[in-house]
Amino acid sequence: MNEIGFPCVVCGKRLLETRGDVISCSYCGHDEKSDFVCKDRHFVCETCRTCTPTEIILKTSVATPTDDSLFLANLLMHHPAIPMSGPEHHLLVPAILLTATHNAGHRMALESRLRQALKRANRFGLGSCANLGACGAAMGVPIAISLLIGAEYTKPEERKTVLRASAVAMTAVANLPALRCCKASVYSSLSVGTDFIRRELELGVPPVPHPTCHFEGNSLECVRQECPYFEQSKLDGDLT
Amino acid sequence: MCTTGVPILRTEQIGRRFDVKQASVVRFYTGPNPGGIWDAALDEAILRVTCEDHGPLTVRVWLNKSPVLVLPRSPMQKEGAFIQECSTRGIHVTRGLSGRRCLLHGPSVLSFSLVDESNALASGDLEREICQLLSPVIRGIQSEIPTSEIAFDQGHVIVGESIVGAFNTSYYFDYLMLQGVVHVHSNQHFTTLKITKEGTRLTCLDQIQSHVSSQHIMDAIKKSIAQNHGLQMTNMPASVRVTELMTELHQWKYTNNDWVYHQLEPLALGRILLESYLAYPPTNRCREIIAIVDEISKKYADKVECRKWLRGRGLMSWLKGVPPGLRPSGGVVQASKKNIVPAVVVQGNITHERKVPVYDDLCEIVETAYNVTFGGTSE
Repeated sequence: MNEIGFPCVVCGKRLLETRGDVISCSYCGHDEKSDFVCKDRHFVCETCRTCTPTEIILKTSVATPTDDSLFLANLLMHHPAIPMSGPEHHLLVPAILLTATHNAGHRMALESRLRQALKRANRFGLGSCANLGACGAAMGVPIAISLLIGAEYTKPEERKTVLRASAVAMTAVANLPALRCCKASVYSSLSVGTDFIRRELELGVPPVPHPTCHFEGNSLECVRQECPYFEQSKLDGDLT
Repeated sequence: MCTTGVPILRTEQIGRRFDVKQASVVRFYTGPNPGGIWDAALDEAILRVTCEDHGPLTVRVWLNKSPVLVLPRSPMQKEGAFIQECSTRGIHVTRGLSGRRCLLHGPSVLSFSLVDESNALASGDLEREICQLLSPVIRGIQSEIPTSEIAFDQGHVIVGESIVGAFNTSYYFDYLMLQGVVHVHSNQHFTTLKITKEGTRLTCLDQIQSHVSSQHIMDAIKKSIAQNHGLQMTNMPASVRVTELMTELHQWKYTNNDWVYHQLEPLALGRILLESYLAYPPTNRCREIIAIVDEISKKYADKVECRKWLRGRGLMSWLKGVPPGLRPSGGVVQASKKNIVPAVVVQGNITHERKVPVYDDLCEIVETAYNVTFGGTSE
């Protein structure tokens, strides 16, 4: 296999040119003749390479067997369709929370709920955090909760639960350092959302361990060690 | 406190992150200084060529015989009135690469440009690094000034209590260029171009007093650098590449009214810009597009400039996003926003969405675009 200059989408290691071995796509799980693969056998199929953000989130969420929210979030955020910041992140949180709950054993009609969630999350446009006081990523938590409990405005208890989820998620994002970082908002919302599902809905979703950011070198606005998700070992590495 | 009322950074406070002492070579441009608007073109040509060649710290110092005003990249308030004022006083106007401040080059000021690797500058360290780079230049001109008296703040060069100069910074890929002016006498205040509430005020040219030889200044700077930093010094004569690029930049950019008056940068210098927006990693379709685009760039080497952008990764030859000094055209931005992958963009317009163009068709589109833009034939 020949090594080529591109880094792997998933792990950043150098991609190797293959001779058409059939490999499963890291996103949709589809088996396809590969052209580039990294040492860890990560491969992205032709269709997934050209997907829109909505398509890749939907396809990956439906196909993945994992209930690890953090793994799924990092996988999706590494996809080239998801930029460093932008409203694409608003779609991630509800999709990941629903997928993790589904894969943890609380089976549901996942695809239709995901479509509903993405439709609702799309209502929050660019800059809604500052313009509306509603971070789109944080709003993913109440969207997922709403779909999990079938909340409507005519159901008082469910309505209250969703509003509480919204308040908790929004407060967590507001307490992050003063920066515009959609990655941090996603990490924070996933942690809070998973806790909420476990505590309030009493569903056995695996807890999210403290996230460490995979994207800290990609943004000029990154506050590095001030961010709760900054990997301390990277700073130690800088100093040595 | 300096005259601007802002606490300033003295040279004793300079950090160690970047140190001129660590640079082994400093290169002096020794080619002709063409004067007027040509100087802006020459500066950008040197920046680009230094970046292409991965050249060392490159210094150019010159004195302009005729006054030239270099506007900042972003439009200023009441810019039209400002330009009008300049034209009545016979001052040539062009637009620079940086968005920070106006620079007035003229007989009583020393103009300089420094090009070096940007070293992934964090914004907070920029002033320190400018201190390091410019101190020898200032001391070269005014050797009686102790280093501790020279300070740099908010794009101003300050000696003692006086603002004696100004500078702008601009980037091209991994390289940084400082362009600036310094008044040749420390006992005079650097007169500035101002737009006040009362109207436009232009004072600099009324104070022309002295004539200084640029060779004399260059010698003083070299002496200062040799004494203080012990660097190896080399010369950079005007190469064919620099001269060609300067000519193209002058023709297509610095004398182009779209750029000077409307901040519209030409897509490519005297060429048609053919861009492709591709998936990352490239799919089969993308590789077919790459092959066709490469063929076309060979066929129309003098007529077409090709850029390949990878979704989420930026310029294919760089893979670190969008390089400074090079912007994707409107068509590529549109393809990115609408997730049109792959796409072919000719002169800023999307011509092929999610499909591989037929070679002959794309040739025809390129030829037509060339004829429309430059009014000639491409063969």
